Amino acid sequence: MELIPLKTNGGVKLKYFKGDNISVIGSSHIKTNTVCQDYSGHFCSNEYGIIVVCDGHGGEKHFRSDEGSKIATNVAIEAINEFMKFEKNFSRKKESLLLQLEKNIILNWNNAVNQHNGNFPFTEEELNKLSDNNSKAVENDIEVAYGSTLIAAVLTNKYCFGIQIGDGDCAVLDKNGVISNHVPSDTRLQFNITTSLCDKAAVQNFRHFWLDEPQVALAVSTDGVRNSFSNETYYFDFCKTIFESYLELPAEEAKNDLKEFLQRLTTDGSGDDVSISIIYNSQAIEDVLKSIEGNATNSNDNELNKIPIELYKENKPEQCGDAAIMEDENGKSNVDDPERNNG
Amino acid sequence: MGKYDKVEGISKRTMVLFFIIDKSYSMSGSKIGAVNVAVREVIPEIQKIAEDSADANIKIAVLTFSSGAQWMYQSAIDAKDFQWNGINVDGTTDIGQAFKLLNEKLARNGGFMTDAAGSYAPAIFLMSDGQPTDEYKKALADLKNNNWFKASLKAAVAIGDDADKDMLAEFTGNLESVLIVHTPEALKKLIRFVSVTASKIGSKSSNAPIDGEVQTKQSDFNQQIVDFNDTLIDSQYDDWN
Repeated sequence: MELIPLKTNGGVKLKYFKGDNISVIGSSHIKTNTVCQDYSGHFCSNEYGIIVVCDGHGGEKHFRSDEGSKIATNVAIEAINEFMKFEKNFSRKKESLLLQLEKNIILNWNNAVNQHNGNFPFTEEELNKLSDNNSKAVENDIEVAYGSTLIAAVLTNKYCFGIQIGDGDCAVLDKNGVISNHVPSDTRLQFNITTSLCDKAAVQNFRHFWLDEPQVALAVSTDGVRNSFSNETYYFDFCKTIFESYLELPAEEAKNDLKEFLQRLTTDGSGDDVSISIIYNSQAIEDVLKSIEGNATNSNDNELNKIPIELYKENKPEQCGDAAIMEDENGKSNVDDPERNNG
Repeated sequence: MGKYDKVEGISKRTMVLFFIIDKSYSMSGSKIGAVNVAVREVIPEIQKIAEDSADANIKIAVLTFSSGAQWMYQSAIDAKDFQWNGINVDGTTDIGQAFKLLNEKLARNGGFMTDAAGSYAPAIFLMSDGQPTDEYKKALADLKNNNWFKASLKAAVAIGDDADKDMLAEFTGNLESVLIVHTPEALKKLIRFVSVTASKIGSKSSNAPIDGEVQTKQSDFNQQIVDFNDTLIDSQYDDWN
């Protein structure tokens, strides 16, 4: 969590974009002594925030997918930070911009995976566990062993975008307090079949969206989260609860509460690993959520999505602060998965 | 965790295990006897899988066919609540009717896949000892266009040498998942193995890439069936006495 009070001439100001990420091992993975194959990360600067979640496949021949998802998370944050340096060119067609970003991520992921495999070649113990077919598949294409999904999203003062390969979800909270998923659906992704960074057609399998309007908050999550809810409305309500929690509680407390809840969620729900990364515009979200709460109290109606809110405030220049002052004090990338189970 | 106390709608997904059982007159005696005993005995094991290790609730649906076809219950029943009603034999082998009814229920609206938003692909286990006595080709072709069927785990057991193994392979999509048994003991072991394995694989949340020759749940299932068949002790000839 990057909530860093900054002293300026005008007093204490809060960092504009705030985010967090958490990965919790699935209850079924604990039972089967399987490592967590999810990984998550986030990055905040004064100009934008990045969130990423990745879900390693975990089948027999994807025996290094925990490493694959970790590499994917780091690669995505690095590639997006590079991408954002060229923001002045973003007037170009968004489709081609995002396609280039996706190609960069795939290329960098493949390079990083090969580098990892060069440093840590497959062991006999790993290969001996494979069937003949899977052994051949991994020998022919080492990336298969590292297969993972990826969802990344970026929030700025003016726009937001998201890219996705594989299953999982991306929720966007708008200025009206409405949450929706803007990533185009892929009808092939059902019955636990997913697209993957290790696909030969990975470039074609990426999906994305770009919204040229300021949004309030974003959440990305691996499929273990959505699969724990009986429908999308409940999932979106849960996302809203996360934002409310981070707004109302100290960061550490909010994170602990979310971690505790995710442990319950995987036990009562999907049994799968669960990861969530969130990013929000700290000023705008406060206005939106407080307005929702006020309206809900007045109307005794907790169905937040139904309430139109028009209190979103455009960014005030002074709240952006000085870029040099607002630079992240804790380093560029804030990737972690505290729940990682290597046992 | 107060903030999250209000979170609603948490649920496990559902996996339906379908038993499609031939109860034509030729199944009389030790064949139907073995089926009744084996399915009744395996249900507690499926209940235990659902409680202990599955990522999904497991429901059971039973469709029988002879002269016509009918469901044992009018919905898929939670494994923990399922009561096996013994099957009695009669009539002919109208498997086309069974395919038609199965196709109707592999659907969200009016079907058994009512937990569609949270359903895993079903597992379907077909058992037959004879040749179809009705026109089944059209019904099977329709079934094969059903997306739930396409994604399902499928296995079939040919009960004795008179079973139509080619038709069963048409149903499963490959010969690997068609098993032939010649004795009641082998049939019972097979029913137990297929039911338990399908429940375990079908109720797991692990995902698999979509690319070409990837190992899907069905290929994993097929491999386990082949491995099991290699170890199954059975007569080379029919012995149903």
